[in-house]
Amino acid sequence: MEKELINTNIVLFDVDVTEKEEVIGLIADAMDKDGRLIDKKGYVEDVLKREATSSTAIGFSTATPHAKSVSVKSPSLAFVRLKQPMKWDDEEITMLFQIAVPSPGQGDRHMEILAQLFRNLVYDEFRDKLRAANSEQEIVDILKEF
Amino acid sequence: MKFLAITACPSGVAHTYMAAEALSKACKEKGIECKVETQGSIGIENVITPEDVKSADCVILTKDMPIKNEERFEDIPKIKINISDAVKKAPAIITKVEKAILAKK
Repeated sequence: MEKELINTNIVLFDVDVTEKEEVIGLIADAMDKDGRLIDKKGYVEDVLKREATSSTAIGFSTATPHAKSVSVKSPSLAFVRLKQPMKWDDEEITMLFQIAVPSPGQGDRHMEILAQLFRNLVYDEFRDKLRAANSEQEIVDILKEF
Repeated sequence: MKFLAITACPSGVAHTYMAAEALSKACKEKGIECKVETQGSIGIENVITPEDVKSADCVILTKDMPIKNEERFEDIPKIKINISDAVKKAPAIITKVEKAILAKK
């Protein structure tokens, strides 16, 4: 059976980090434990490579590190809320979406969901809901609505 | 007034769609008609037609990736912007473009 894009195993609250590499690695750990990656190290390298081209801090106190990578097994959307704000290039962020997409692609359904997620991110109400959620399950429910 | 826009980013996953939505939202808030084509990982969506171009005042293009079929816009003003600016500063960009178009009329 195809794995769902997001589940509670890859929703992390109160993450206490100060470095980009640290949080990207932590999320990759969670994805890997959940059987979503083929090669964790390769995936992290691809995410960092993407970061190096231009920042994925998108305003709205949010960063969206991501990679389309041969090291990814199943399309994944992880969500992280930080314990305290951290610097992400020249912005300050409080939450992250980290995305893993297999390369070559596996059809467009997952990409359509991600496109819809990113469209929603520009709306205050959507981000407020993510900030106010009290449980990992609540986050999964909000993000599954697409 | 009617604006066109095309968004495209290197991975085609995130900024393409955020920028598209941010630009449409900013236009809507100012009562400007707007059509945004996305050139992203799920292909080209909401394609801008020759009829759209005829009735438009300008086209806003993101400049982080080559835009496909840019020659469609030979006859109207083209504004090129960074895609991250489109996401973060869409209202300011739309206001500026609107002023420039009005000044020309």
